[in-house]
Amino acid sequence: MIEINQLYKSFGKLNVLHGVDLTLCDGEILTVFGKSGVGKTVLIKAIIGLIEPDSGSISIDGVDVTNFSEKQFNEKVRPHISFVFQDGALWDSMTVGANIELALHAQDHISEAERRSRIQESLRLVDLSGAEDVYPDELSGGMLKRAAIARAIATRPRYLLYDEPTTGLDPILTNVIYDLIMHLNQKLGTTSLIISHDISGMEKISNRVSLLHDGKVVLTCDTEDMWEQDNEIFNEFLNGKAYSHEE
Amino acid sequence: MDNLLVKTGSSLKTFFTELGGISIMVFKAFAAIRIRHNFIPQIIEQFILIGKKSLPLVVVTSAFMGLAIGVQVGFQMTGFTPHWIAGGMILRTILIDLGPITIGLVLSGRISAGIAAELGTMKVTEQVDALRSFAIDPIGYLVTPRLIAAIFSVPALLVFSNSIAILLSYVSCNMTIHITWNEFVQGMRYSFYVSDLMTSLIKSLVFGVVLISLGAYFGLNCQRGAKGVGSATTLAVVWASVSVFVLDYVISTIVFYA
Ligand SMILES: Nc1ncnc2c1ncn2[C@@H]1O[C@H](COP(=O)(O)OP(=O)(O)OP(=O)(O)O)[C@@H](O)[C@H]1O
Ligand SMILES: [Mg+2]
Repeated sequence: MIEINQLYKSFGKLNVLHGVDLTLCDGEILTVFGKSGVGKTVLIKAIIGLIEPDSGSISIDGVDVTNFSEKQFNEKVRPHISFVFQDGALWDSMTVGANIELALHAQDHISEAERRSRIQESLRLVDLSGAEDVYPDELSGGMLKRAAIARAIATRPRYLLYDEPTTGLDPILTNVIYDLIMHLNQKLGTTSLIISHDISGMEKISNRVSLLHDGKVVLTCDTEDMWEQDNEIFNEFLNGKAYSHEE
Repeated sequence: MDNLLVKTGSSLKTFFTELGGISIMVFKAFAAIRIRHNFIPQIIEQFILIGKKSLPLVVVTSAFMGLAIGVQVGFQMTGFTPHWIAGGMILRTILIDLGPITIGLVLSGRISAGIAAELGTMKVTEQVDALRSFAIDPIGYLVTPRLIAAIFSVPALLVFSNSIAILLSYVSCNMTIHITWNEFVQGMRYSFYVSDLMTSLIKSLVFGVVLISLGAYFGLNCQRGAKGVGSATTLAVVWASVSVFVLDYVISTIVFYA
């Protein structure tokens, strides 16, 4: 379980997060949505220590990681939580296979044979078998995202944080990715936190949804009940109105 | 006046902050040598890359630097000065100052800028964050191999550059004052000091470390967006080329007067 309490973060004069509370329960798929630039990426980066919050606390499986050093994050947090970056962030100087291999590098208890089989298996799960020797810049946008997911799942994380895994993809590929996320959730028992703008998609796959607005989580509810909320901002977002008058 | 003071103060503050940041990064990069074991392939890769990127430019600049020095020294030799003196003058000028400075400037443009652009792009495309997310230290993984490669490749480039420069300075000196190869070599023999050669090598080694560090530092601390990469590259080149002149002076002073 990941618990975020009263998280604050600003960059200079820009107050991005002010008082975010969010809980990610074991085994669930939680989708966080909110308008562009509201701080969704900042929020999930803070969980694995890529961004240092100004105040508030983050605890993972009951351990307060807020003041962890880079070394502690490397040893205690990052081996268990994988991050799928918004634009894939594959290392572009090396092949897809080498990308996965490097991701496994930090886990040095893995044998060479195990490493090879993890690479094959991850690529098969995202339907990219055979792409091992391809360089990232030879991949299409959709393949890139799937390769990034392959790299993320190779380490067999307990938690997966997806930063907009389907933005920019066609509807068919979007469904492929959603099926994959659900599959991983059920098959590997991974707990997932998804950042997404796609209302119908999140309705399909997530157990709960949260709206991040103005530096705070405005509302969190079960997906089944999401159309019956009486929060004005939340409803505006669901009906796609917020964008029309705020952007 | 107040404004000027404030401005100077804040520039100085920025300067020392950056200097501190660079020093910390270099320290971490060397400290990471212990941690990672399978460094060797990457070091070799970077060694080849540095050589391949800068060799053509080093050849051309050293050649013309040598030619110019040959003409210049030849020109000063007219009169009653014996010709062989030219050989010694040329050797010492190239070894102590012009050789290292040429290499330093070429590498500022080629290597510091290249590294800043490469790591800067990795930073803005979140590839550096991706390294961290998989518990890989970006400094140990990206900077350390380049630093070690530079320690070997830059002095090697310098020896190469100096040899080309000296040979071509003979050619142009021969064309201006008809100095013979024997006179030229005799002059070089008279004024060859091992300490000069050491100075040259030490300078190239220091330049190598500093230029790689500057490129890496500005790349890794790149601001967001494509504009960030551009300004990281510019900063790296500016800092690198200024450092070459400053360090050249500092090292000369230490070696010859301390
Ligand atoms: N490292 C940083 N330095 C300075 N400002 C930053 C940094 N990271 C994020 N920001 C700012 O914080 C705000 C939130 O950024 P963030 O990337 O989290 O938005 P987002 O909700 O993920 O948006 P999008 O949906 O477009 O990805 C933005 O205004 C951004 O410019
Ligand atoms: Mg984002």
